[in-house]
Amino acid sequence: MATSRVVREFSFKLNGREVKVRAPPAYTLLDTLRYIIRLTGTKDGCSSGDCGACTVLLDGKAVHSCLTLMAQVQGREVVTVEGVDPIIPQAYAQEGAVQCGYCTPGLVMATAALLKANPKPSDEDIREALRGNLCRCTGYVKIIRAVKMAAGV
Amino acid sequence: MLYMHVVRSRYAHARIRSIDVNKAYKHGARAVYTYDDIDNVEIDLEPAEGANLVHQRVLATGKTRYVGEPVAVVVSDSLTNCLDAAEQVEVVYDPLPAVLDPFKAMDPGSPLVHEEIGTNVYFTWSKQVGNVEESFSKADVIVQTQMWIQRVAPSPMEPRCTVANYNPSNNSFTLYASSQNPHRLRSFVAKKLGVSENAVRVIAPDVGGGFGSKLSIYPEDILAPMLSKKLQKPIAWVETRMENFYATAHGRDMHGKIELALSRQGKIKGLKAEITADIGAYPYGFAKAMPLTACRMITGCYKINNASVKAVGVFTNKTPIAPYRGAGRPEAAYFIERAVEKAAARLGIDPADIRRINFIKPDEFPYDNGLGMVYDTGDYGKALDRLLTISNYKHLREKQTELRQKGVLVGIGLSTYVEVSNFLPQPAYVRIERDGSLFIYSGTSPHGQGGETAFAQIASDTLGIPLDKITVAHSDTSLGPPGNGTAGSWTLASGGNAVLAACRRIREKMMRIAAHMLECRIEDLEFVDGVFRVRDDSGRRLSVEHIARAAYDINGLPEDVEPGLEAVTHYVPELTFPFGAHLAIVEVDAETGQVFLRKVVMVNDCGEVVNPMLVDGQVVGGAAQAIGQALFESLEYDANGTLLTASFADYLIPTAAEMPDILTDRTVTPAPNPLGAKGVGEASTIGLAQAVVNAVEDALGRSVEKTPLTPYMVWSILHAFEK
Repeated sequence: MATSRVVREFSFKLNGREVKVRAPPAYTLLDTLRYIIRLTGTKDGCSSGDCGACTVLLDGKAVHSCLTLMAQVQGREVVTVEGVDPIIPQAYAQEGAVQCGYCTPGLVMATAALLKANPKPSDEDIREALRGNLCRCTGYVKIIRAVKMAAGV
Repeated sequence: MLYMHVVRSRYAHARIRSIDVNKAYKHGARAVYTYDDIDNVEIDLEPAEGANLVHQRVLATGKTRYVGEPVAVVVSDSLTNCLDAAEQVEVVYDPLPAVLDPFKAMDPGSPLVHEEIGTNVYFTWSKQVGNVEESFSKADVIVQTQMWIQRVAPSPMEPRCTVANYNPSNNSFTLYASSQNPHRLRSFVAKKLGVSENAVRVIAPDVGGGFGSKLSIYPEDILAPMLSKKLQKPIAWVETRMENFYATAHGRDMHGKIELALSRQGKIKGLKAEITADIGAYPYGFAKAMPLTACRMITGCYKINNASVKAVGVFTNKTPIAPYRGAGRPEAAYFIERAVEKAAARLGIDPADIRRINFIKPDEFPYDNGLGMVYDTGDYGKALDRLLTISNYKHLREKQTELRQKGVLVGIGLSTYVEVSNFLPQPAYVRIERDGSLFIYSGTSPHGQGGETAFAQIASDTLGIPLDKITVAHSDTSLGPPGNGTAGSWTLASGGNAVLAACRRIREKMMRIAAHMLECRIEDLEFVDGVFRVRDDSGRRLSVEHIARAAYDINGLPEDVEPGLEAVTHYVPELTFPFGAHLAIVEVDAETGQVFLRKVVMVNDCGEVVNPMLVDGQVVGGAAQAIGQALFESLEYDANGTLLTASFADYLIPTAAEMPDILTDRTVTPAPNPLGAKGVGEASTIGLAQAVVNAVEDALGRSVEKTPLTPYMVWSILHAFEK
C-alpha cells in the first residue's frame, strides 16, 4: 500500500509567488514545505502543535504548519521564514536571541504575526503572543528584546 | 534515500514471546529487522569500575527493560510508509512486573531488571572525611532532610536524527548526526561496524540543542549505518517528539537524605549524605560518575571537616539516565543548599548569614574538601555580597515582612553554589592562510552556545587578524584531530585554551620570520595592533599579511624555519570550580497553590569573560531549565511503567510567559589557566532551582520534599495542616 504515491495538485501563494505543487492529500503544509518544496527553514519540533517550531503565516495569521492540511492551504497565502521581513531575523541576530536556532524560524513568524496585529506591543503582549513557541536554549529574555527592537519600541 | 523507523517496546518490563513482521511487508516496508536478522552488537555502556556490569544490544533480545527500548526496525521509501508499516509489526509480549521505585527495587523480593547480576543495584560507593559520628554527637542541633530531584527530559527542540550513507567503493560511511560529540560517535560506529575509524566520517551540522542527551551513543546510531550498508542506500532516521520523551536519555532522578550537625551559632560541624540514584534500565555514560560527582561536591561552598557520603545506583524499568546540564552538580548543590536553608530557618539565622559563617575563605584555596575535590580558586563571600547588594536584600526582607502582615505568602530563597567543570582535553588546529586570513578548527562542538565567536575573538586578539577574516570550523571528523565535543561547560575553558595556545605558537613563529625579514633580533620586536615592528624604530614594520605571504615562500624564510603558518595543540585542562550566588522571590496564591516567580537575581563567577553576551545567553537559558525543574517539569509514570507525559502538552517546559524578571551580574575570580576561564554553561541549572524551592518553603513556612512545585502539590502542603 503506497499511500504516498497518490497525489493531488495544490495552488497557493508562497512568499509572494504563485506556486503549484503535487503532494499526497495527507501531507501537511510542513511536510510539503520541507520534503517537496525543500524550504527547510520551517522546523518540525513535535508534529502535534505543541511547540510552535513549525509556525508560518497563513493569510497573515500564525498557524501550526504541522497541523495544516494542504487542502486548507489551497488558494491562500503562505509566508515562511524564508519570505519574512528581514528586519525581524536581523533583530534576533543582533540581540543574541538565537542559540541553537531550531525554534527561531517559528518565533520569527510568531513575531511577524504579532507585529502585523499589534505594531507597538508591550512586554506583556509579547510574552502572550510568544507563549506558543517553546525555546529550550535562550530563556526568552533576549527574544523579547529582539521583538521590541524589530518593533522599534 | 530510505527511511528508518524503530519499533519500540510498549511495556516497561516484558519478555518478547514472538515477533511477526509479515504484515509490515504488506504495508509498505522495504525491510524489517529483528534481533536475529542483524549483527546485533552491544551498545557500549558505562565502563564503571566496581559496578555490576550489564548489557544492551542494539535490538532487544528476549526481554525489554523500558518503554521505548528498540525491538525491531522498519525501512521504507518514505517516512509515512515507515510509520504505517511499523504499526503492523506484531510483537507479542509477556509483561513482567515493572520496577519503578529505586527503594523498592532494593527490597529482597523485587523483580530484577537484569537477572544475570542477581540484584537491581548497579553500584554502591562511600567516602568519609574527619570524624562524623563525633561531630554529630557534639552538635547543638541536627537538621535532617529528604529530597527528591525529579527525573526530567532534556527536551532539545530538535529531536535526534541521523542520515547514514554507506560508500561501497571503499567500505566507508558518512554519518550526519545530531550529536554533541561527533568524534566519540565515530569511534563507536567504527568499532561496532568493524571498520577503522578513518572509514567513518561524522558530520554534526547545526545541532538543535542537546543539553547532554546527545552525548550518549544510542542503538539508532549503530542501526542507521548498519542498514545503509546492508541495503546499499542512504538511510535517514528522524525521531518523533514522543520518541524523544521515552527513547532519549533522561536527566537527574536522585533522592537525597542529608543531615547537618550544627552549633547553635550556625556553624556546620558535620554532614551525612545518602544519595540514591535511579539509573533507569541501562547505565549510559556517566551513570555512576554523576552520583559520585554529586557526593564529592556535597560540601558545597562550606568548610565542613567531618562528612560521610554514600551513594547507590539502582536499575529500574525506565529510560536510561545520562548527563543533563549539570550532570551530578545540580544535585549536589540542590541537596546542600536546601539543607543549609532549612538549618537557617530552624536556628532563626538569616540564610545569607549562615552561609557566610561557613564559607571557605578566599585565602584557603586551593581547598581540598576531603571527598575527592580540590577547589582551585573562589571567593564565595564576594559573590554573595554582590548578590545582596544588587537585589537590595535588606529592603526585600523589609518588604516581605510588610506583605506578610497583609497575609501575602511571599518567599525569598537563596543559593550559593560551587561546581566543578572542565573535565576533558580538546585539540585546536589553527592556520593563517597565504593571504593573512585565519582558519580555526576546534575539537569542541558548540551547538548554539556561540563558542565559535569566542574562539574568533581569542584568535583575533592574539594574532591581530580582524574578525571578518576568521573562519571557525568544528564537528566534522575529517577536519581535524579528535575532540570531545561540547558539554560540561568546557568549550571555552578547554577548547578556548587550546585555540589560545595554538595561536600563541603561530605568533612565535611569525616573530621569528619577522625578525629574519627585518634583520633584527626577536627581542627587539613588538607586536602591536596586528603589526610586527622594531621597538624604537617603528618605521620598520611588517603586517600579518606580509608575514603570511613570506611564510609560504621558501626563499624568504630563515634556514631553520619550515614553510607554513599553522599549529596543532591538545590542551589538557585542570578541573575548575565556577561558583555564584542566586536569589529568587516568589508569591504563592493560598487558594490555588500557584507559585508566581516574581524575580530571580543571579551573580555568577566564571572567571575571566571573553564574551559577555554569550555568558548571558547561557545564564538566562539555564535559568529557564532550572525554573522548569523547580516548578513545571515532571515525567509521570503509571503503575505499569508507561510514561504518561510524552508530549509538550503534558510535559511543561517554561514559555516566555513563565519567565520572571531576571537580573544578572558577575564577579571575576580567575581560574589558574591561561584564559582564566571557569566555564558557565551549567551555572544556572546548578545554582537556581534550589533558590526557587527555598523561596517557596520560605513563603509557605512548611517543608517541601518534592519538585516540581505544581499548584496541586503546594496547595496540598498548605492544606495538609488543616485536616
